[in-house]
Amino acid sequence: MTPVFGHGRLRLYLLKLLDESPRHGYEVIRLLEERFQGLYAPSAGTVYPRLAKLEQEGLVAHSTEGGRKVYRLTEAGRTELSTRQSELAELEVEIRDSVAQLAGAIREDVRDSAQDLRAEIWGAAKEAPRPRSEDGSDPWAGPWGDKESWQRAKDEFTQFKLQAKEQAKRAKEQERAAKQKAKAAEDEARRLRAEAKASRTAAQQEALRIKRRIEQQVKEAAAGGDWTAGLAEGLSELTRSLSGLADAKWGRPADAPADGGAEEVRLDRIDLDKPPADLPEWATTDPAADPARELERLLDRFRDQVRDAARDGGVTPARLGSAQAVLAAAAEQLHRTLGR
Amino acid sequence: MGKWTVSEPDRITLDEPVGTLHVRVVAGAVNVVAGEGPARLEVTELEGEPLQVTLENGVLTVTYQDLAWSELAESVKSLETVKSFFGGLRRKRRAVVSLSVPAGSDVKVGSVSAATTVSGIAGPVAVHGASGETTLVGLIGRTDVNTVTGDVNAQSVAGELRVNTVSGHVTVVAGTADKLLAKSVSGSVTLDLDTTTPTDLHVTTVSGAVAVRLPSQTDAKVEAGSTGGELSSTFEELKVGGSWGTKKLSGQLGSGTGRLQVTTVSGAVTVLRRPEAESDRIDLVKELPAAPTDPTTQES
Repeated sequence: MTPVFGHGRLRLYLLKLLDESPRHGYEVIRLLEERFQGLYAPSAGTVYPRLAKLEQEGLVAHSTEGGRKVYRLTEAGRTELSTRQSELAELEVEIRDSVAQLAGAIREDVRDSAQDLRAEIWGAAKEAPRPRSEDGSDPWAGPWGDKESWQRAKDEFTQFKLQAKEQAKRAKEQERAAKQKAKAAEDEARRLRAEAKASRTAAQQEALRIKRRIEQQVKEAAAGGDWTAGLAEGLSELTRSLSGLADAKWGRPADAPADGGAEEVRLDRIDLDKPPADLPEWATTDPAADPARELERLLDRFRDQVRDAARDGGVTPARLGSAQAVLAAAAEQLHRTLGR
Repeated sequence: MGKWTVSEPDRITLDEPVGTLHVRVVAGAVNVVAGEGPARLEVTELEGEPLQVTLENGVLTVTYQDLAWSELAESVKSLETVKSFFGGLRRKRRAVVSLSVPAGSDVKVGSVSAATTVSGIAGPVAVHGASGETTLVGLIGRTDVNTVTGDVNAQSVAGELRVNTVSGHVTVVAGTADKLLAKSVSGSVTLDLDTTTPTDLHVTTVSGAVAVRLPSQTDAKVEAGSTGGELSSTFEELKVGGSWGTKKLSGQLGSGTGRLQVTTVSGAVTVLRRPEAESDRIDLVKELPAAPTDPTTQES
């Protein structure tokens, strides 16, 4: 297809518009749009450069009126226009009558605009700064030739390795600690069970022994005839022994008989205030230690427990609310308990 | 319902309404412009086989007889018909077809080497070609272009534009599309955006260079990566990073609501700031509010 509205022809048309009257750029665009029956408006970004080009060629001059440029035809421009007048007239008729000519004109103009734009943009691209590419690194050198990026990658990898190791170590430690805790809890439970059993058997044996001794004393006294003295002595002995038994701190009775001498039972004090057995393990305290410190530890363990539970179960606003209520109530009660 | 056989340059005015246009030709040119009034068809040049024109249920079809799929099935019935089919294809076929259809039409154009121009259409537009140049102007719907070696030039295109090409150059002048996808193998992609509304731009090339020019007050997250090409930008907000050979130009412009994503293997990538509008134009826009269709008014 023959070019209908190439560079030369749009140029011609621009000259014609400026010949009619001096115009500013926007008016030129509007008139061109009219010419294309409203179907097409050359982009402002292409009309201004073309006007500037015409000016360079000396066909057009501009003056500034009220802050904007007004373009007018020069003598050279008028000469150029008159030599190609017939060409222009022919073109105008064609474009008005034929969709093909109109579309052809649009195509030529868009092609020119695109060409101009490519030239402009790629020209500007050459000037555009290349951030951080001045270090002269060859992009194809990649990780092998470019020492800096290789070093960077290596550093990243080393750091990553360290982090992974650290994490593994931490995980192992946590596992070990958890195992130890479980074992300690088990030992504690076993110890408590053994303690309870030992105290039970010790108490039974002691009671049995006291019974036997008093029986014997009473029998001896009765055999001696003095059964009232024997009874009184036996009763007082029974009272003494039983009171010794009741005393939780009793160890070996002072007057242990020869047959029971080898038996030695030691029992820690069993505090009646000791929390019931159904309390969780973490809540057990060492009664022998300093109570204030034990309270501190208890609080620490309590915090750990709550934090673990929150981490495992997740915290929702609703759960937070109820936890808040529980904590507030507990704090109030503790305040009352400890405050007095 | 109408059926015409065009064997010499002719003009046809179609009295029935046209809602869809299908054009399939070989060489020459296809022009589609939006026009008021009844649809018009102009065949200004014709060499070789006659063109078949049908209008049925608002679908206007312009094609060669044997390029219609239904006819293709007919032509493989015997050896003679197959021979005549390929013989027909070998003959030179050239047509310059121009149509004026309502702006809301659905337009599909297929060709081998015909230059295609579509202007002012608001409906969906699809252009498929091998080596023909494609020109798109003032489209506002969804536009799909597939070419092999043909260049694609789009000016003042809004809506959604998708371009696939092998070695054709893609150029968008003063584009206002909200979504723009360009894929190319070795053709360059040059985008000039004239809109400050958030835009989704996605460009993929193998060795084609990519240049994107954005207004300076653009809001977009930029991510442009190239393995072998140079990266450059006149936006100070964009930084180059990356290792292992691939370099990445990334950053946020404005509030980062739009997106510019460029992926290329060995093409250069440049992101440029659009020059500010000329001062006299801004004055004029204030004086001449009667031209809201001009894209330049959006700059004020």
